[in-house]
Amino acid sequence: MSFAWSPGGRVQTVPMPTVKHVLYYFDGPKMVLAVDERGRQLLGVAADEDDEGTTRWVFAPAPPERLVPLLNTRTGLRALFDTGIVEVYDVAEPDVPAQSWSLAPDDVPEDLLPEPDAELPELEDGARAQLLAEQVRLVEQRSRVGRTRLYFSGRPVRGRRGISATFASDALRNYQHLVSLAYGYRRKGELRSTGPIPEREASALMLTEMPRGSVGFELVEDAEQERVTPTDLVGVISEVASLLDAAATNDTIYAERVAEFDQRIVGALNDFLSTLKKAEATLKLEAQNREYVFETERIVEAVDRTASTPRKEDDRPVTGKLIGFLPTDLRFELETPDRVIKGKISRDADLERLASFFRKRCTAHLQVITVERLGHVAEAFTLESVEDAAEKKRG
Amino acid sequence: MPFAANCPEADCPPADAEAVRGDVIRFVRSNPPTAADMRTYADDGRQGDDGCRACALSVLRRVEDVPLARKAMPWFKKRLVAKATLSPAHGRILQTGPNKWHFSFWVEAGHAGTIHQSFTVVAA
Repeated sequence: MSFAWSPGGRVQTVPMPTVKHVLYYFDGPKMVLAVDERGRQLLGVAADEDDEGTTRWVFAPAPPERLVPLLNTRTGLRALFDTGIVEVYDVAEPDVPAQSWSLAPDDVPEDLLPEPDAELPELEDGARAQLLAEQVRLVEQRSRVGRTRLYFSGRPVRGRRGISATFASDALRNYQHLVSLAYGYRRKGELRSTGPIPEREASALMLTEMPRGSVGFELVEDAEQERVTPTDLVGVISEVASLLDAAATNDTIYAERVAEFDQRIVGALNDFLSTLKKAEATLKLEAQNREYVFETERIVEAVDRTASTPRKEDDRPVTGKLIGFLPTDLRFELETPDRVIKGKISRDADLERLASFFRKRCTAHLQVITVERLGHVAEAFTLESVEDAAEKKRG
Repeated sequence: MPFAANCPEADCPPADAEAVRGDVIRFVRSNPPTAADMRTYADDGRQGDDGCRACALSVLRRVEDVPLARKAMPWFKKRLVAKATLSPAHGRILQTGPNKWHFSFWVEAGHAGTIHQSFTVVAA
């Protein structure tokens, strides 16, 4: 073999990824969609050929979430090769193990990668429709399993190549703890102030991928990928991301979000954010198709906001008129002589009973979470139950 | 009209393949193109999932597809671009495979040894 470029790093002899679809054929496949032995979907392009007929292939991770827009717009082919570990295979014969290297995109010569403005070849209509339907189905399947990506930047990260092992292990452990606490509360309700977290095993996330773009970690729930309904962890991962975002946003939004969790989570929240602050790291968090960015300023503010546990009042009776009632969104509005109190309806509330009080005077029983910081007080209200205002007076 | 011996006996070329007429484009190694540039996938002992397509030469019919292929798959940059103007006696042609502008060209057996002489390199 005599290629102009010899990859560095460790060479392995492994089977080429199994081709699932040929996207471009010209005297044999020249662009393919394949699955490797770890079950990852990869897009491969023929990149070079030596005098003896060995073809050099370059593969990039192509999760269905990224393939769907590529199939729809045909743009963004090169981006696949910029954001993951690139696999290079020298294939002399099909079905014979090939020499392969796992490399950072920067380590692969530019002339072996698709050009920045390269388009996906125009597929025949039937082939495109079939492939798109398959990928959309895969996206739906994947969204039923808990999955999140954390991309770190800042001082613990060295370019796109490395990250402090101490920082990475601390950050991931604290993040996992946060998720486990949230999951335990969703499954079992109130947590004990210390001690084991209920159903911790079921909330375990597996490190499955290290996407590039700063240094990133993909964490995936260890669950059956073919399931037809989402796991509980899918929702919990979104809620935790939303809580982190709220902690970095303002007191009012934070008070409302944190009210949905057992207050033991506040310590875990602070531990995770403090790990980032101490290391001078920043974070981009992807959870179920949403992206949250935590720059230094937001992290510092979030650490301060989560430094103390909010005050929790389990039952504050307030008399007023229930002027807003949204059972689907679980939101309410209660008009009192002083102001209109807005908030969430408890998941455990009796919605039929609440509906019977709509536009009537009543005594609402509210759980109140109070965040006090820098002389400012933010309260979040959760409506637990209602009773006739007269009943309350008699009581 | 007989075709390559390594083509499947039945339904190859497919019934809807048409007599070739006009320009086709092929990627080659040599200038001028040689017989080695006209080896099919089947000539290299491979079949893929379609034995009939494998015994045909891959060609494009639109010159604008050359930069598209080269930008997406660097393998094509290692080859020269050759063009031939063909007539029905040269064989049959049909769009095949997943990409819209790929055509399979089944060379009539009598022209198999000389078809490379019909191609002229038009771009590096």
